[in-house]
Amino acid sequence: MTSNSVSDDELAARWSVTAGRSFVFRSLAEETLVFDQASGDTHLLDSAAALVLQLLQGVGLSAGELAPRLMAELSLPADPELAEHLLGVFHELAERDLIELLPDEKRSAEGLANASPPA
Amino acid sequence: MKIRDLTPIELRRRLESAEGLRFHCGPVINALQTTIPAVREGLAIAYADFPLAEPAFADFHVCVAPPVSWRKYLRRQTLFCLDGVSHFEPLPWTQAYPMLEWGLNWCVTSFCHHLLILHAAVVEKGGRALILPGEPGAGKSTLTAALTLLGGWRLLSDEMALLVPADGRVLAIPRPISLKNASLDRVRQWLPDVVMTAPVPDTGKGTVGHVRPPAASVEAMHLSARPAWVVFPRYRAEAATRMAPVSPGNAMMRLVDQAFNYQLHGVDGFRCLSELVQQAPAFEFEYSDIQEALAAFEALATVPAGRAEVMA
Amino acid sequence: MRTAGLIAAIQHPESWAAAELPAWDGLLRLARRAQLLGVLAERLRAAGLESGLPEPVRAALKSERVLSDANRRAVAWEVRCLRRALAALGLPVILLKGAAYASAELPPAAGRLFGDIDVLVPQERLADVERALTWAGWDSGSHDAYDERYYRTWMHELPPMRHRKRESVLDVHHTILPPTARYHPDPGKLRADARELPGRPGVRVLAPTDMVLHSACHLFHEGEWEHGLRDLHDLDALLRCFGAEPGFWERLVARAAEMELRRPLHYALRYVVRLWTTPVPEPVLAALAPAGPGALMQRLMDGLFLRAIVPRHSLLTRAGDGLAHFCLYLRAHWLRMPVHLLLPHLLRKALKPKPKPEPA
Repeated sequence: MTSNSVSDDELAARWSVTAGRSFVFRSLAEETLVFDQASGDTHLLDSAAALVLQLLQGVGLSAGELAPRLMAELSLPADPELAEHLLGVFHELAERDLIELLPDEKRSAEGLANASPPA
Repeated sequence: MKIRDLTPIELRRRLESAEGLRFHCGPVINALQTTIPAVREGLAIAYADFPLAEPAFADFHVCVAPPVSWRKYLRRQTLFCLDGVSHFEPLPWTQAYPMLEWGLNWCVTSFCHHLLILHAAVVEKGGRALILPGEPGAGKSTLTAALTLLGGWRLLSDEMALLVPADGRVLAIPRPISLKNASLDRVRQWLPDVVMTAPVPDTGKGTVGHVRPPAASVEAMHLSARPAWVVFPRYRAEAATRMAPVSPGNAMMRLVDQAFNYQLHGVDGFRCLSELVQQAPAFEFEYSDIQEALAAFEALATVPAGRAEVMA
Repeated sequence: MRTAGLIAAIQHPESWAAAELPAWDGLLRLARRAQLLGVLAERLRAAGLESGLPEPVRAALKSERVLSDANRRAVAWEVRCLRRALAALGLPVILLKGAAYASAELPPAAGRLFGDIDVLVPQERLADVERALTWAGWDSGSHDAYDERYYRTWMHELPPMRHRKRESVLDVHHTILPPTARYHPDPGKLRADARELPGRPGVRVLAPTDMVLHSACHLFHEGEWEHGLRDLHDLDALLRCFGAEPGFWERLVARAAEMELRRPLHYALRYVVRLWTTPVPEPVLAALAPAGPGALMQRLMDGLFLRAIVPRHSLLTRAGDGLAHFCLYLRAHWLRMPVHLLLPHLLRKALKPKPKPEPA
């Protein structure tokens, strides 16, 4: 069953930077370059996504928990949809294998995500 | 003393000797052995202004010669060997000269990892270097030929940008400019007197010829330069001349794509290239008319350092 | 420049502090051919000599260091990815050869480049392992039917697996010698005694005696001698490192007997001492001598091995080396494969095409 609204479970699921990654950041105006010293991969992210990545280093946070922190960090006006938007950013970062769901969360997320092998 | 100062007999003697002919190519010294006349003749034309080197040391001991086998009487072929080992399949003997050029490129990109090497042409004016990455279809060599033979730019390299990771300088290795197919004709149109090796047809990339680099560029081979601009060229028939800015982030990712050994340098490579894109504004350049192209780059060169210019 | 000169430069780099460029030219070329340039670079750097050397020499050495540092990072990342891929199977990752030296930070790793990652898994779990690896992005690769049969049926490995995105190569072994070989060291014992790396749960390397035995086997059963000098250098480094541990030599001799590998060890020690003057105690050599061949055969083997192990280079060529190499290649394959299969296989290997040069 698909719908446009995001479930509370998804907003509460915790993500963190994938184990073993070691990032070096370089800010360029609205973009940020990210280098992972462990794998040698280089990424170009928009600065907001890069900030999300930085905040997920070494800690597990959910979209619901991260939203208020970002609003404070960037001095953004209160935005009820920010958490949902952050989930989208999480998925994009996860697609690049930069962050992952924390182990406990992986089991509850099975119902939400596909179980097919990665491409 | 330069290669042009050798008599044909002496040139041949050195090429067929055990030490080979030794000459400087920017930061490397090549020792070349060959018995093939086309290679000797091509060398005499394209490398005329290159300085000879002492027999003491060479970075690359290379040889372009037919395989040692009874088959050479059936089909004539050439091998490129580095220090006595052939790393590639033989090519037809008619392609012996291009094989030398491709082989020498391979030596640098395979063994000079103290440098960060990009697949790009580099030219310089007023002490500032222009890097022209060689994305497919870019036509960088044609543009390089025009910039250096008509536009008064110094040639640092047609094929590879040699960056010193510690400080971001570009080293010069002003070897002959390789042209192919239609660009051979175009360059001959602009410059009927252009000095180049005899074009070789039917190679993997069509007909290929190598243009002698300007003597002044060869003379200045030991002068490095600081990158001031990165321009991604694209030749498109009938296109209007257009120089559009590329964000530093995008420039970085495109440069990483065009690098031979970025991965090897780890975080040092990341720092070097990200420093480069922060110091040198990047542009995408589309053109069809060479005179307009030269004018566009001239305009770029006259802008004082530190300011980017957009041309519609 | 002779092989002895290369060995001396590696063991006594300070003797090259004041060398002239022509001498360096020969040394660098020979070292590169022997795949020991990185090792030489590391020795010169460790001796604090690098900065005083001529510029072109520094450039070549720096290039090697960039390569070996990059290789080290790549191996570390591969091992990490491998660990994740096999975690669900409850199998430890037992590393062999270069990946083991690099991950355990053993002396042979300094300045070396390692191409493939080699791991040891139980034979009965091979199918599971292959499946888990495929899930994690490794391909069994596009080998032709002949190679598939060679690897799976006759040799001791799955065909090399290549990672789709990273393009790294993984060799999965279930034993260290093929089932068709003369000797049958028990892989179960090797796995049982494997040691976990400190701070790296689930990643293991063979016990020191087993690492030495594997290196000896690998050298004296594998077919290619191009890297004989380099591989013996690895062995020399291992022995100097482990030899300092109390009881190591006794355990080594005992283990060789237990695994029925006394003859390869005999050869390995004989030649590593001969070439690299490794400090192997006399009683050890004496204990293994009975496992060696008869006197006449020994002299023949000495001639063959010592000629073939020397890097092939125009600065060093002597007439007759080609034959020595070929005889040893033949012997190595004889020890691994029934003869009637040997000739067609060697012919096929000789005819595989090499890549074409890249036009500009």
